[in-house]
Amino acid sequence: MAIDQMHINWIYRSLDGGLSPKEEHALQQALQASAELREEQEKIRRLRSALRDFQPAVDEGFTRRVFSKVREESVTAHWLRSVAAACLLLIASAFIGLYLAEGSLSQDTLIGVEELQPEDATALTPYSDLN
Amino acid sequence: MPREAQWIRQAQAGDQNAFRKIVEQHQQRVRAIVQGMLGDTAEADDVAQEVFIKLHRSLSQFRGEAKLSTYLSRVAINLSLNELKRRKRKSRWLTFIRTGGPEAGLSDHSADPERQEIRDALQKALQRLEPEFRAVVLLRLVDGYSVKETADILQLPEGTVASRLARAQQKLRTILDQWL
Repeated sequence: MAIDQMHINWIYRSLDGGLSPKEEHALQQALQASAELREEQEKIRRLRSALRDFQPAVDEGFTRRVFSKVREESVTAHWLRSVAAACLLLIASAFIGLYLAEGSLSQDTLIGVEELQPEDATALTPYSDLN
Repeated sequence: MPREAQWIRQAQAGDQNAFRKIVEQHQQRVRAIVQGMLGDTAEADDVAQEVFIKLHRSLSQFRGEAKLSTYLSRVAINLSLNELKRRKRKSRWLTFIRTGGPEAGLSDHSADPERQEIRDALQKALQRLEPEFRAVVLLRLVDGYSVKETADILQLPEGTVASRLARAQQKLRTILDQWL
């Protein structure tokens, strides 16, 4: 008796508990009637058993490698935090210094044109344009 | 698992020993997923380590709503899929460089040779499945999650998981015929 694809699908579904009682009963009958189908069921069982054994052996060094990376990451994070804090401190010092020197933190002060007068603009005009 | 909940709380409080126990408890499961997805390679080991580093980073936010094993399996699958995408991009640009296939590996040759042979054949057969089919096989048949749990981890309908599972097993069954 040739193996029916439907029965093979039922074997897969049966192993995952996905068959209705009626289908399960029909599958059992088909299995009883066909040695080929029983052999197929056995091969599928062996495949699933091999997959269950696929778990790798415990790797003693794995935990050590994870911890080494965790430590590396914390050192990098600590270093980055320190650099960020130093940058913030530098920027804050620059602002405080500017405020103490100019008495203001207006936009003109920040770009350094606070004391620039309109007539100073001519000094920036190219000589050729003035003639 | 109350013991595990205790380890998580202790690890959240900075107890490195508790975190070590978590890694030891789950390393086999995570490595099985990542090795199954990527092959038994050095980069698979890096990705498996990254799963636990990610856990370490997000320990403070871990509320225990999902089981730790489920969380780790989901992270392992996602990081493996990212790695496969990275490989694909890399191979597009560097097709002339032979980096060694996914089968080239770090197999444990100290194990029983016959078992190792079957394991290698299985590893190669898994690499011939599409990643989404591979993920279903690894979660359901290697890690032993139920169809429902597998569907939750992969955020897929149960029917999709069941049909991918059946098709993947049929393909594996054909590839591995001589071993069965």
